[in-house]
Amino acid sequence: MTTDFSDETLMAFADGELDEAQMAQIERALANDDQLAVRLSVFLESRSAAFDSFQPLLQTPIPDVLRSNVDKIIEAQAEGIATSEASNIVSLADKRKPFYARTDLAAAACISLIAGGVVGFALSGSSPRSEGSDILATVISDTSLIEAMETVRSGDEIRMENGSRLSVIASFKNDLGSLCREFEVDGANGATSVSVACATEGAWQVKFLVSAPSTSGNQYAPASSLEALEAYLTAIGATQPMNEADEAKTLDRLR
Amino acid sequence: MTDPFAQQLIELLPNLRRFALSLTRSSTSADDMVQVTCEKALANKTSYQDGTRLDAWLFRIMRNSWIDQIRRNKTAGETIDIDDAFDVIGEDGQAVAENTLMLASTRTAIAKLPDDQREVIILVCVEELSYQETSSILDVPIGTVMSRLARARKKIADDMGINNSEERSSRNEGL
Repeated sequence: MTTDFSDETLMAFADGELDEAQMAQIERALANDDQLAVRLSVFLESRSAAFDSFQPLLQTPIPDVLRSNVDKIIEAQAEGIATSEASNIVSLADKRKPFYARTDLAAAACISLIAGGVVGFALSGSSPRSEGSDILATVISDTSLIEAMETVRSGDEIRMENGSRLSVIASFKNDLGSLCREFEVDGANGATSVSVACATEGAWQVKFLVSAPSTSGNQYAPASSLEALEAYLTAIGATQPMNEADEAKTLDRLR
Repeated sequence: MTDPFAQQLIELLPNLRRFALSLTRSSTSADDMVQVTCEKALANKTSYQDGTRLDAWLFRIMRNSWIDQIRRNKTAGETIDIDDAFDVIGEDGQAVAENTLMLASTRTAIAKLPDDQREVIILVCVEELSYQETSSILDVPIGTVMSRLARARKKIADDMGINNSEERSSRNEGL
């Protein structure tokens, strides 16, 4: 009888993941093969060691501030308040994002915000237009930006010809099933923006834009812009961000 | 608390926090991820399918949120020492057990694994999810889950001195 089982098969046996026939086959092999039993013990013991070592974390009391924040989120939901408002209560938000936190209130006070509405797009070449019942959106006409929307993978960053830096954060679908991309642009002049553009009717439309002007060398859109973004994403029924493979497939289909 | 979904969510907070710690390796970030996950879960609770494991669904939300946050904060890649992260337990005086050292060294061994191996071992061996559930949380094929998991466990076993061929051969010599 062959005892040439792979590590994966032995592990699946240890985890109870094999079907009955395979389980029985390995049980028979184990009866005559000590070496196999030793190999199996690696998987049995590593599992129980891993399990045991993380058990104490479950007994750790949930910190009061976390518990009370979660309660507030639940309450807010129950009362039908938008999640974004709930997140205003969340005091940990300030600690959360050092990247965005480097802003001051002055900058926060003078951000401009569109959510579906229109403010001139930071990169140029855009014009407002109205379509059906949709609120105003800005069509992207800058070819290098269109190309970036269709090629740059989430997590990647490119430098645009005009010197600004564009990084794509995530891809997802909105409630209409259109591909949307969230991205940030740091202009050469220090202005910065967080945007969502969706591919609708053969064009990329900027559906959401928060921009902060250049202030005292501050390079980052203020934290409040992310709350607005979260609220926007919730409102349009955004899916979870796509994984790399799905994103690659979706972008390929655009070309 | 009357909403059963919210009630279940609260019951799972310790598990969410534990998974968050293993992802973020920082207690502040972990608590943040728990909040973000709760918010998203409540906002999207209609897309949760009854009869499936709620914890698996929540872990998926959390992991996606974490990846999203890593992308945003790419430049600020600060992680704290893993022992500190897991030491968030213990301060309450309750967790001090005889085998604390053993537990801590296993956690350290797990902490040293590459991210992709650490998450599979946490999901399968700690959270007791199936290969299938783990594969859908991570969006990778089952075969990938299995190969990462087998590698992770062999490393843990090596680190912990569980095993192995050396012990076995010395035992044989004694016979």
